Amino acid sequence: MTLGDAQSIWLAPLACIVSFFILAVGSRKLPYQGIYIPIVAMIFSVVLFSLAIVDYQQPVNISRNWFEVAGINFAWDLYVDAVSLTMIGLISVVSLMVQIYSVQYMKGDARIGWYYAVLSLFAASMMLLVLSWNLVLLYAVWELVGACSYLLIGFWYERRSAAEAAKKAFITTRIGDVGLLIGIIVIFKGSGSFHIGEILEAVSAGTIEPSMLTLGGFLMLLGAMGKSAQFPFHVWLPDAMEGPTPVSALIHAATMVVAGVFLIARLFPLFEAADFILDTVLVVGFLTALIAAMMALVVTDLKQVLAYSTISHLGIMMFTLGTGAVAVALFHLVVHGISKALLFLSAGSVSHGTGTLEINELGGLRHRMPVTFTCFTVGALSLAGVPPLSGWFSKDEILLALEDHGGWGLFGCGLIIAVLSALYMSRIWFRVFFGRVGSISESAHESPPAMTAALGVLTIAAASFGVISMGYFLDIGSFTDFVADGNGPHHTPNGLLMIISTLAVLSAIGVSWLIYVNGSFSAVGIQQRLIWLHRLAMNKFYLDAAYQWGIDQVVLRVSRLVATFDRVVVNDAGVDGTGKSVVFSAFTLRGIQTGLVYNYALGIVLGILVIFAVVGLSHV
Amino acid sequence: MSLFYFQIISAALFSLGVYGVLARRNAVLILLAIELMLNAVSINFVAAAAFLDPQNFMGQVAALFVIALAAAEIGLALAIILRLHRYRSSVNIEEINLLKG
Repeated sequence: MTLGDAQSIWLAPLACIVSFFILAVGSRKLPYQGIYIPIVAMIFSVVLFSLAIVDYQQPVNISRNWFEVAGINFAWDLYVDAVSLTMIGLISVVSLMVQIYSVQYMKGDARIGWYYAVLSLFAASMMLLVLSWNLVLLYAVWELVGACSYLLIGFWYERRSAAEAAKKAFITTRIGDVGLLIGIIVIFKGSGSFHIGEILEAVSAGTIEPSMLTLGGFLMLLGAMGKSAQFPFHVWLPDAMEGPTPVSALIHAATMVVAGVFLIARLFPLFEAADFILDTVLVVGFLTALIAAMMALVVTDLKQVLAYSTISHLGIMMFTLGTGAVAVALFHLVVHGISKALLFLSAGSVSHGTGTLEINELGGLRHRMPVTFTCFTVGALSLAGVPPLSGWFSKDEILLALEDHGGWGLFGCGLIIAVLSALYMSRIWFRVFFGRVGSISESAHESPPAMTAALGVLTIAAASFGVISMGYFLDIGSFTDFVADGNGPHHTPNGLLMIISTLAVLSAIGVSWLIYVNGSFSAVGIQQRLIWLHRLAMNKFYLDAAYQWGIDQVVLRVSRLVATFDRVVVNDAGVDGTGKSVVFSAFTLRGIQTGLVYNYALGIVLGILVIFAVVGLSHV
Repeated sequence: MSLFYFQIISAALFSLGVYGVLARRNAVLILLAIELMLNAVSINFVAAAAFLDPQNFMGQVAALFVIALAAAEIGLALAIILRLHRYRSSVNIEEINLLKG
């Protein structure tokens, strides 16, 4: 191993873990709380990634024994292939940008050292997650990223809503994670191994019992759905916006939430071999994408819109995975990760400059914050699917894959979501940056250079990634070919589909221009027309209410019952009862201790007589 | 003369002793009754040894043990009774219930 080849990529998470420990222990003693240490570690990671991706030839397996139980070997199995390298690139670049951005954004926060420590731990565990080639290791770091997410959502834990949101996010994803854990065990029972390579071999050899495969696949899908905020587990993600905005950009847009998509992509042959799991993925993905897009259209908090948009795009990735187009889903994952991180950081810049994220109070920021405006525009139009930004390429690939898999019906479903996506993206774009200047916007100011620099880098990435990854201009092959090791989908580009989808998206943006800028249609009028749908979406499809009801009426009641059982049967009867019975019998039996010698003597004599009687009778 | 008569006497003596322990209220008399019981046991030992195993004198040895034991026991018991009498001016066991629960 020489520094810089693909095999040395494991040094990147190691550097991040080391910087976590340094900051966790000594951030108070270091100047500026030592926040430069994680940034240096992150730069190191980006450099390692760049060297590795240039050097990359073929997948490399790194394995170190960990421990052995009952003949089963648990190892640090890392697998460096095109997929994990891509993910490492996304994680390290977005992490680095977020950390640079946070220098200004979190300036003056008393616990900034701890903030950077957890960011660093998150980056390390996320990198290990995408590298891990062993389900036990994968599960461990899977939980670790969840814990980091919990710590960062609740970073301002003095605010009750933040503490509540952190709990909600952790518990909701944990419900899915229980499924993942059981799924891993089921797959282990079926295949006899935790090693992903061996499992995939067993799947292709058909040695796993089909029912076990289906059960294990379904349970693991639950874990993926929890982490990737799929319906009906999506409720935690909008609340997670209570965390600092850079955290939302890193964890709840670009990296952690795509862990579920990544898991399915990683174990795709397993899910493909199991019955009807892929169809479930397809349906869940579409449902999630649809309802999240509807909710994104009605909420009025900028970060909330972005959160619902994230859920919707995660749904699109699942939808795409359901058709079997893994490489396309991963392409959209990277495109969305870059664009959404950019959007979140721009939203953070808006809130930094104006002090609010409520889009009804914003407006006309175009002239006040030109850099933020440019960056947000690129991000929003990319995700809306406007050529020639990255989102346009990935959207086209997705629609092509959908049409390839399920004909015009699936294509139509995809198109609906693309149109909704364009609608809500252009809605916030117009509402925040165009139109009349809101009262708050008067005093708005552009963000400091560290923030705009991070925005600039992501803007360039979001604008150019699509073009580059199609392989038209540089002789590096297409991205989808790269992640599929040369076996990428070879759809013939369908000009008709491309024209239809692009026209649909552009007309959606035009409609929203008419509504929000020109005022030809009144948004309120449309709201009145579709009042039931609006009410449904505003109330988050009553899912939160239903969960609350379930917790109040079912969980808490059962808990109360169990608590009563514990108090009455276990404590009162079992523990206290034993003690009381001893005291009671002692009080009762003290009566026979008269202290008079002849009573004792009589007792002895009678006892002996009884013994004689018993012995005598038994010998007759 | 047979072993049976000795056993009858021994049993009668023992029963007398039991009756004395249960019926008497004077601690000294109870001690005497206990002596009766011990002697009944000694008679039993000696008679059984003489009739069943005349060569080995095991019963006689046991009787000697009982006598030694009785001497020790009576010494201890009389000492207790003396102390009792010193503090309570009485040896009537109906008045002594210090170990009442």
